[in-house]
Amino acid sequence: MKQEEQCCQQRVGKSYYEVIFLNTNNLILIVGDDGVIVEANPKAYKVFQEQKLVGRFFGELLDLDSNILQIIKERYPFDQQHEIDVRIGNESLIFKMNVSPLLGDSNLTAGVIAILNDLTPEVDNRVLIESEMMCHVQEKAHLDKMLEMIFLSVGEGILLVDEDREIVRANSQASEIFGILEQKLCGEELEYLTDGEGMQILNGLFNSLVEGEKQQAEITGHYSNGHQFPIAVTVTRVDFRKRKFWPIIVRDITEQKEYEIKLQYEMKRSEEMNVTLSNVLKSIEKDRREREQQVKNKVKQSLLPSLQKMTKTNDLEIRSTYRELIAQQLIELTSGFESRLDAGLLKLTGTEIAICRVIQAGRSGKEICELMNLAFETLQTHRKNIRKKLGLRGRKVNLQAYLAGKNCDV
Amino acid sequence: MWDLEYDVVVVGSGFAGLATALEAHEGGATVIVLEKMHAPGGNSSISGGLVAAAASPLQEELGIVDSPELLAKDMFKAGQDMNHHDLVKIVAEQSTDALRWTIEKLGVEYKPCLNILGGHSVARTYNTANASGSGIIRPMLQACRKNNIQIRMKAMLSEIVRKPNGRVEGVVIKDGYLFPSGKSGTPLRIRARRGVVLATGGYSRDIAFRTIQNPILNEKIESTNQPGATAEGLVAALKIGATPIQLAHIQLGPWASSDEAGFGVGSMFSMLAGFPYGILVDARTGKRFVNELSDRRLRVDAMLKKKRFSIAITDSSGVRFASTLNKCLKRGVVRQYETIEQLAIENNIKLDNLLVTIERYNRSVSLGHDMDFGKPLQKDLQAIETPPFYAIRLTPKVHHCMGGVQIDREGRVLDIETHEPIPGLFAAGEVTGGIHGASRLGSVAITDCLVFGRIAGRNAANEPF
Ligand SMILES: Cc1cc2nc3c(=O)[nH]c(=O)nc-3n(C[C@H](O)[C@H](O)[C@H](O)COP(=O)(O)OP(=O)(O)OC[C@H]3O[C@@H](n4cnc5c(N)ncnc54)[C@H](O)[C@@H]3O)c2cc1C
Repeated sequence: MKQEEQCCQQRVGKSYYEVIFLNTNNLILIVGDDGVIVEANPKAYKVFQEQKLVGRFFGELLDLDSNILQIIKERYPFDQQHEIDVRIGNESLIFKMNVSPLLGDSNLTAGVIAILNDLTPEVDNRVLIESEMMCHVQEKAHLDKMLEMIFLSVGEGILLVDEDREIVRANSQASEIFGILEQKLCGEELEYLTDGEGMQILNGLFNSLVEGEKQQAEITGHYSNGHQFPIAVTVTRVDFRKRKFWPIIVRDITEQKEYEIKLQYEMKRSEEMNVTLSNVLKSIEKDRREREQQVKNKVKQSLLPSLQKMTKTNDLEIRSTYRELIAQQLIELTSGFESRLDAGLLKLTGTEIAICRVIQAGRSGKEICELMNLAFETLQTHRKNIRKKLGLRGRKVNLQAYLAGKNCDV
Repeated sequence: MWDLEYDVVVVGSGFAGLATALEAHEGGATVIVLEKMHAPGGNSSISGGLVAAAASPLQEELGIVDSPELLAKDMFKAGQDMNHHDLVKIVAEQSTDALRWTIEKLGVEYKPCLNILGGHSVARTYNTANASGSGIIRPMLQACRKNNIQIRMKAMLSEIVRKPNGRVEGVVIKDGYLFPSGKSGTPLRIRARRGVVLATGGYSRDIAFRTIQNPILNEKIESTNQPGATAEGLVAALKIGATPIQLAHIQLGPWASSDEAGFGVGSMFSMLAGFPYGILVDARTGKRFVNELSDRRLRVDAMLKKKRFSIAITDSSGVRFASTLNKCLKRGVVRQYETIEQLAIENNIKLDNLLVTIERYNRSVSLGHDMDFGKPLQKDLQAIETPPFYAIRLTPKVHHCMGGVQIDREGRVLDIETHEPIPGLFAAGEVTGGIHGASRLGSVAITDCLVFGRIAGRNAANEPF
């Protein structure tokens, strides 16, 4: 029974066909290309009085006069009914036997499936059974092929690990990630591919996952030359014939990690930039107010009194002195910066100046809109006006380039 | 003209290639290793890690008398004297040196016992602690990393560039090659200022090439090798005038299991337990038919004759050294039985005959000599009588190419017309021929690869340019 279970292990999943295989009253023997039985159903075991069947020669078991499958095939052509006489113990039984080619499964390509039935049963459902068994075999071959294709062709590494933490299958991507040929990777202990901590994490996942569940983790991978690198693993669990297996999808995330670090750095930098920019905007506003205040003060303290005095007197000489004084005071109103100012820039409004500063700092239109809370159309109008005032209209001069050397501290 | 430039360009990342690279680096050369597969190591990394060394430290410890001459003699016997004597001498004389190099320089760990393999007259075979060639390949790869020796993967040699003046100046590779697609990869020209070393291994998996050499070895016969064991490297050398030698000598391994693909885990079981401590019988007769410790060729010929169903049988005392036993049992490659009767029934062996066979073999064991096939019986050999009993079903698989390009004692490849060395071209490992003659002894390939890899590396680094 143990051996029977073992050979059945190769089958994927439990299907309708399997139920038939297990419960039919027909004897079903699946025979490998070497003429040796690789699978037999419970009924066959029963009829053969629980003798071992798997591993025995098909020909010998049924007294077919040859163990060579080729010869048996010639003698008992496919898809015909053959009557055979089999001695079991002291008894001689007569069976109807039907032999069909076994398709699909690569190591059984040339094998056959034999369905025998006792000539006594009331209902002859051989045809039914046979066609369904063929479907089973084909379905399985198909499924195997599909799984195989998926396994081989996905872009990520896949490792299939069993309860002993042994790698029982690996695809070429996994082989490339760890620098170990598939032939070597299969049969290798999983612990070779990671460090103690990684193994602990994996063991944790293995122990906690229920069938069909999925978990991810990032651990350290080991290349065959000792190089260590970050890997992302997605672990699932499948149960198969009372044994657990864990398919692990592996991705080398060295590049992703490097990219993440770079991205973090970039984000930090741009955050800093934003802070600086809003500070700039704030200081512009503050400057503006201070200057206004200064001008107000000057106008109040010197300009207005001078004007009053000038209007009060009729003395031409005094008037002219005051006129000069006022002119002087007017110049002083802007003193301290006017010398360095671009004549054109002086024509700009406060908003326009602010925009110039942000343009100078290299911000994009979209960023300016966000920072200054402007609609894009509004910004475009401002830009147009700025260009006009600076005499750039119609000239092929980029505003940022023009402003580059200028003092915008108006 | 050239995209990249190095002093020494090594092609192939197995034992031979990596030994070459490490020695050439040691000799002061800049080195690159080219490997066509997506992972390094070739057959070397999947091999059994069995290493023959004559007059080794362990032999001395165990009181086993051996010498390079005796190893050479064993090699000639298996090789039917088709071996080139001068090359054999070098391998035998430097075998213990090469072993020491792996221990002292690379830190390779070996089991503290020796094995006797078929065709060897004494126990002289070391085995890595993990019973695999990866036990040597990993430390080699680590050493390459430490020394910044680049191993370029998916880089397939497609042409060796030989100038009209006769000198080899570099190689053309397909970079980004995806085995086995002939169309993949883009050409890249790599100059070798001092030398190109060919270490591309054998061609056991090149069905087209091997069936041309020996039509019997068609696609129906499996192989123990990795899929990349194909002939392009060898062919590139032949194209520029290298001398081919004994290409039809292709060895099959007698110890591989019919219940798994390739070398698997069963081969080591047969090598370490089934053959030395058990018997090989034909399931159809229940009788032995060959000396289980004869050379591989003799065993394989006997197995293939009369289409035998070969099964190796041993008992619990015989599996003492079978390091892969648990994996074999787990995969159903080796089966365990409580009685010989049970073993006979399940393997379809005629019980009466098998009992007679075992009884007679046990008598040979107690007599100390094999009455039937002259198998050398080891001192610690015990009768097959202690349950549980073990059986493994065997089928020969294509394993090793004795043939290849001809080299001289300095590891230089010889020109087919002049019989002189081709300046700037060296070769080492399984891609070379002539060392093992008609049949290679087990565990001598690794020794050969290490010895000639090191020679080629040293000489290539010193080649004037
Ligand atoms: C399963 C197995 C077990 C073995 N066990 C043992 C053992 O225990 N003891 C022992 O002594 N011997 C053993 N051998 C034999 C021995 O392992 C090999 O002969 C030896 O490893 C060859 O080494 P190498 O460096 O010459 O070639 P390899 O190790 O095969 O390396 C050659 C490399 O070159 C690459 N290559 C090929 N063509 C090109 C190209 N055109 N361009 C770029 N790269 C290329 C290949 O992909 C490969 O990686 C075993 C062999 C096998 C297959």
